[in-house]
Amino acid sequence: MAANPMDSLDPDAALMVAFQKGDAAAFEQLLDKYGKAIVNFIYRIVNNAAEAEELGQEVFLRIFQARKTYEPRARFAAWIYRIATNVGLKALERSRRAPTWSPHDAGEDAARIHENLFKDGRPDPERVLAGSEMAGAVARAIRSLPHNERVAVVLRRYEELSYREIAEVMNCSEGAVKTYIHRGKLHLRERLLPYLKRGE
Amino acid sequence: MNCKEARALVGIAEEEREAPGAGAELSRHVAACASCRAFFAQLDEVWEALAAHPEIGLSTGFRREVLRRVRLEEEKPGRGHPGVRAGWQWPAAAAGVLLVVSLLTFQLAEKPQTALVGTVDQSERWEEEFMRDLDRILEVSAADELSDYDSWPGAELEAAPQESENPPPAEKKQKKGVGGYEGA
Repeated sequence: MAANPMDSLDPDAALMVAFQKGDAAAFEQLLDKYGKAIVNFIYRIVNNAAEAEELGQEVFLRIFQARKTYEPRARFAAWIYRIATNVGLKALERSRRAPTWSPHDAGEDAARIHENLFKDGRPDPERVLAGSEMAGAVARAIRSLPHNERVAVVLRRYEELSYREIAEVMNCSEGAVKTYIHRGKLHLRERLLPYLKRGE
Repeated sequence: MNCKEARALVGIAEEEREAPGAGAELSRHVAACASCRAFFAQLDEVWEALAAHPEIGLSTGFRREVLRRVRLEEEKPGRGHPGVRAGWQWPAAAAGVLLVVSLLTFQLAEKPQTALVGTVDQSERWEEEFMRDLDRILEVSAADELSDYDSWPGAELEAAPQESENPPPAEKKQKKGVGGYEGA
């Protein structure tokens, strides 16, 4: 019996192919599965929650537009993150964003940090303050990275993609991805040194 | 092997979670160099510290808005043939039909299959160019970084005493390859 080519597809690519064939529910499954991850990925690229949601919508709109031409050549995750990377970096280019920490984001993040730190029922003002400072420092440090390093670090650290998947997203070798991540760590270390326990 | 070489090698090897080619020499250096051990411990700590960046939740309207935009996209009229939408397409087609017919057979024979489902118009061919744009953006970014490659922060430790590894910010900014990055 001939092997069904659908058997070799990753499940998400199979969903995309199903959507291509007219199964609208498959698109909604992809939206439910990747929506939050894509918005968070873009958020860490553009550093603005409202803009990240807007751009996340654009990513799914582009997936919808690509339904007729989609070919499952790579893992679906690599494909969607590649689109999201493109959307995020283009937004950065468009706005030529100055490296500022907007009050809107600062307040928004502080609220989330507050919620996270207090959810265990042990309010500790020092922890809250330290957590807020650290979160702000990390956000600024990530934002200070060059595009390549930022994308590679965020995909690895937060989205937990493999080097191979990141290489597919960035259209480069796995070796280049490792280099970007290592260089990103070095730059982050410089930025975060005052906050490290082991900092000199 | 000096600290600069060790840090370059270990950084990459650490990402691979395996010893690099120069493993034995590197291991000897790291075992003997407290500064390098502290440096690598800091890199691990930095990686852990990134967890402090909070995850955001989706707004309740996100899913609804995506589906609304998709429906609008689906209902968009005239997607098939931009520029040939008015009532003059039939006279125009009639005027050109002799020429078209003479070429049509030849063109169809050479035309590759471009779609799995239905007809694909130009507005749906955004992906190739879109992805090329990403490669361009990343290439520009990579080119900008090449000059920084040999001047990683901390790589100067061999030439400088350990306490200079964390110089005051004003001093850092003047170092080659670091000042070019966006300020915090």
